[in-house]
Amino acid sequence: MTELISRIVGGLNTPVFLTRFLVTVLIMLVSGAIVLGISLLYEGLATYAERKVAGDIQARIGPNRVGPYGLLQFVADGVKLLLKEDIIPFYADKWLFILAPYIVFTVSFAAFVPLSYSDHIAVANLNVGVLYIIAISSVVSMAILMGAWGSNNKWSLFGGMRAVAQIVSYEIPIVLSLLAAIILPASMNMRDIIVYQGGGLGIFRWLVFNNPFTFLAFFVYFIAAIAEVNRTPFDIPEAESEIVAGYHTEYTGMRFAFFFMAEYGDMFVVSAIATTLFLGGWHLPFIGGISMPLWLRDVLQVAVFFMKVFVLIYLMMWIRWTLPRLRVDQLMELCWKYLTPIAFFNLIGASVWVLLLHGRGIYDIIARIIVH
Amino acid sequence: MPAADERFMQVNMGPQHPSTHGVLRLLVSTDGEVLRDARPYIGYLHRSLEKIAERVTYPQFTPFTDRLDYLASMNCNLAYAMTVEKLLNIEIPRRAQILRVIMAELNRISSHLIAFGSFSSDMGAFTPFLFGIREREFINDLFEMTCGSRLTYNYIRIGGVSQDIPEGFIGKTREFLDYFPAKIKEYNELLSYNAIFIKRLANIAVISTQDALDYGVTGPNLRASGIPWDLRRSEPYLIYNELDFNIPVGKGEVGTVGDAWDRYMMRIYEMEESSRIIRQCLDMLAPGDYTAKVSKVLKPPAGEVYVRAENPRGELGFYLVSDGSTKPYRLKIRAPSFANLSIIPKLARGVMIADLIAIIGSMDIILPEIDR
Amino acid sequence: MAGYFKKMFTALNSVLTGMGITIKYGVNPKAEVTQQYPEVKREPPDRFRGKLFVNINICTGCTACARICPVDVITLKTVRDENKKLRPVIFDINNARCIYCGLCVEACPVDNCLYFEKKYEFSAYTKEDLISHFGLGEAQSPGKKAEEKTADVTKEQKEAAQ
Repeated sequence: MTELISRIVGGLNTPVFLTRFLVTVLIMLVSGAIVLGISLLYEGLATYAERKVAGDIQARIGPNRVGPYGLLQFVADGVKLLLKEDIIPFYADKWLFILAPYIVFTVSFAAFVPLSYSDHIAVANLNVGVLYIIAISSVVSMAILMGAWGSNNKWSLFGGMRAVAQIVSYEIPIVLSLLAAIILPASMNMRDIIVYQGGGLGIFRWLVFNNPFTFLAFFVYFIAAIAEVNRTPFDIPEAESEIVAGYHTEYTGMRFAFFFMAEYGDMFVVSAIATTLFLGGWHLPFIGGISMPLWLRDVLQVAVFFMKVFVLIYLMMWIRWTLPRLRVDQLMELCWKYLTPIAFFNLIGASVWVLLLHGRGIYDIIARIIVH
Repeated sequence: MPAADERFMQVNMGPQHPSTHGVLRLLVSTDGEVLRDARPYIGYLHRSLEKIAERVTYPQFTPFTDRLDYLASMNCNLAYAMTVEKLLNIEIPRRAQILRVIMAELNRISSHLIAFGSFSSDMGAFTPFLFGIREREFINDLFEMTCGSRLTYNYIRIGGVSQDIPEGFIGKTREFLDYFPAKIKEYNELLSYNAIFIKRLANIAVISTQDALDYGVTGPNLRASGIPWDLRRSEPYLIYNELDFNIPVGKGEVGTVGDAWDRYMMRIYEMEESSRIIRQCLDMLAPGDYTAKVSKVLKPPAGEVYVRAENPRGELGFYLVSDGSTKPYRLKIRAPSFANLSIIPKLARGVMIADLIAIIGSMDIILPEIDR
Repeated sequence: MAGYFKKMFTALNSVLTGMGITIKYGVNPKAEVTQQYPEVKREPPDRFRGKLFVNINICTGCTACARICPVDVITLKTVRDENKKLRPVIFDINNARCIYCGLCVEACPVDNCLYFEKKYEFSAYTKEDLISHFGLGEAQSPGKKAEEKTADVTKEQKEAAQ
């Protein structure tokens, strides 16, 4: 594709540096538009799925009026939100109030970039992919506080303070448990990490099965990730029954929708990280060894990747519609007294494991014993 | 209103707030998440029911008692009917008494189901709320086939009940009683013994025995504090002295006696006991009159009378003064929720915002009864 | 330390129990109890207290219903016709104010005169539309003709009501 574009642009008789610049911009725009389109479609369908899952669990039906099985519900919702009156409170800090939803949405969208969807499909093959995602998703806490403070509403302020406290605290167990996984492939590149997990029928060399420490790290990461994206039982920043709607109490219409979509975008990102780092990413289980055309392999890999992500997202929804909410201090207690120490010991344990066994996983050891 | 202290933030919780169970307004002064003070302001639902009673005749006031505690209309009807009957000295036929007990206990279950459900949604778990509503629909159907209404029944009248139970009522009630215990077990597994739920409620807002007596707290809230005071047992009316049932008392199963969890659990236990009572009543049901002979124009002798009955929310008392005319001279309603609400400022001192929601929910107050 | 792990275990256990219950409903489509309202309508029971209806032709104009009503929903005006019988000239029921308590139905001394219909969908755009008029109106000329006319009026009303 790069060659194609450079050939087209090159035919226009322009200087080389300009050609390179234009090509880069064009590639950025196109890939950005594709990711944006897919992520918006996903976010719409995710809101539908959330309501449908909630309906199933609560012995209800869920949305079923718009389109077949209510599938177009999110389109109707989107139109409704677009047409709603855009209210900016009179006493709001207008700049912060207006800016916050865009930052939240941009950040959640930007986190899609370094993900590796298949062997050959990725928006950007960053060598610091994991670090990039962790770094960029911490900006969310700032944007949420901007919106909360800018709203000039006491409930929003409560929500904003809670959100910042929660997100900042839960970054620590997240990073520690991700580190426990990263030290095995010794890379922060999403693709390298997935490639490392190849073999073993496409299942047994997943990092989650590599050793007991990574196994635990996966659960620590997942619990902390639920807190990171503010979902029940850790949804205290927007706890409806306590502080009305938390930091987005004053937002209406599309501004609210940006917060809403960002939440689902974040869900995808944290699930994708879990899939990439622990669950073998796009490796095809069982049929990986069969020879097939390249395009088919890529399609299947994308499908497998998304399937794993969606299972995790379903798990999050299932948890949400089962559990009550923790209190703000208990949330901190869970983080500092349970998750952080466990994640820390995990990291030490995983490091020792890597040192002693030279990075071999349980599967490799068993395979070697059987072979000998 | 005292001058606001600059160090604390004054927040209005209600009259429009997701979890103030109607239109309760609490003026809360907080230091961050910690409450310094919560002051209830009531009257948003005031309809002058006591004054209306002086304008209408004795039978005409029965529909207004439906609207005292709309989740337990039968019990309110019953208390009012017993008051007027005591003034008139009417003997109630046995069948009518049994029917009254069946209806009152069914209504107790349906009221506790709402209490359970709304409390769970206050705590952030939305699914149990819908489960509670689902079971309540069965009871609503039973009431609808008996008296034609699903919420404001106006079924228990002065002298008996308005009409005999329809064909099939007994069978359907038994069906419900057979179906219900499995659901209670489900509630317990899903919510009551959930670790997060216990963590939120154990040792929170403990009402000591002395406090409960001092503030006039009644009903499940009083029994949760360890006092086995139930008018059905201590001051039996109707046929309650012939029935075999337990009075559940708070034992501090997961924390202190009289904490929020105990208050919540009393309602679950009482639903089980009510089911037992209804079963016994259905067995006792023999043919007979469903109402005593009451003349159309009631002219009770001059005098005054106070009658109280055990409502799902506590002691509902009617103090009725008659001047010998067809209309009451004065009717004073002792609403249980009013007394129960009065202890909230004491409980709310020094707790967190999330705990305040737990306190309001666990007291199970209902606003129309408070404002009358 | 043992307590620390025991706490974690009980917490995890109770969470998993709860999730077991919710997934049981989540995968079982038969557990749905929703009724699709506009398509599926439940048949109200016989005693259902819906919209009030007056069979005005057999109304004796005794005003028992209007007197018992606790919220003054019924506006009833009667005149004596030439046979000394009470004739309900105006019989308005304000459905917007009715609390559906059923006292009037019980007070009515005539069988099948005032009763509840099994009707619960009668929303209207204005409050005036919610008032149902059952009155016979002023008799224009005495005798047989008037009777015929009133019969027509009630028929029309009944149709309109439906």
